[in-house]
Amino acid sequence: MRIEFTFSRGPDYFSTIMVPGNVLRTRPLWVTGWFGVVAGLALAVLLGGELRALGVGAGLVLAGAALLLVRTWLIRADRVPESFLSSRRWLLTDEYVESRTDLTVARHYWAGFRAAAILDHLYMLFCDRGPMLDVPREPLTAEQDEQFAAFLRGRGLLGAQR
Amino acid sequence: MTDMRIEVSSDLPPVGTPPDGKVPVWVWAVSAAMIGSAVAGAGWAGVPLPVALIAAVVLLLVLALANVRRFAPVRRRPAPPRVERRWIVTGTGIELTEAQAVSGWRWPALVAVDETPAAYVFRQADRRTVNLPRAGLTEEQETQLRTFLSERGLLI
Repeated sequence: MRIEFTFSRGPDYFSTIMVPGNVLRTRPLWVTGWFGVVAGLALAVLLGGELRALGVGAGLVLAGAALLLVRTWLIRADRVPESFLSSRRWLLTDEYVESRTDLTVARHYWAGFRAAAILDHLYMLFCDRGPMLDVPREPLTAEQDEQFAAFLRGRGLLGAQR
Repeated sequence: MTDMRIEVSSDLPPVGTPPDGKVPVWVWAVSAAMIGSAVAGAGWAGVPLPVALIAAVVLLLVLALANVRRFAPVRRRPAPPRVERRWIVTGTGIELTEAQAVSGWRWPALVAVDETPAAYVFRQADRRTVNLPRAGLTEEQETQLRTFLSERGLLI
């Protein structure tokens, strides 16, 4: 097997395989945002006859909603690093998979993988307790796609425990 | 300095990779302000302070537990296995050879270097890092490397 192609992955390519870092970095805002909304509603409902309680409740609901909106905005603004989007050359052979740019190269021999999965637009390869590697499907011809899938199946990687 | 060639071998696990999910101080501060405001506001609205505090703690616990799956990715991962790795540092870049992988970075791909007691941690523009352990470096190699990195403006 020798499959070689050049491809640039777009931001959408990563949406199903990468969790934006801001999801983790802002996770307390999810808790305290909902805390404000629920606590505010509880105050307004339980002490609804009191003007102060209504005011505080409304304020908490607004503040909580603002935190949740800020978090959503931060997550959406967390873009895929530019270097992930640069043009990259893949080489798939019987011995290894190689991915290179003008400045970097990563060659992984098949013995170092423990599992693989086929997604709609990419192959995901799982190293042994190490990094994951992706191989885009879009630039592959139907024949190459089938050949690569058969190769992974033959090595027992497809469907193997990650 | 393009004739530089430094070879290092080590089975120490990588160090110095920044935790991607670290919560910034401002997020904690805003969260604390939100909770404090809620308790103070409830007290001002007539709710007894102990009741407001207990209700706040219970609600936070419930929400944190409901969100526990979101927290899962930041749980501590198992320590990486100790495998022999070999670095070759030249005027062109760094090559890292592991049991089943070979990786390489040309110098323009590396934007900064952090010195830790255990390693030189090379940073890429996308925040990923490359570790070069200091343990295997001779004094002469370390001097040569530091001079090279200083000339490239990488040492910070």
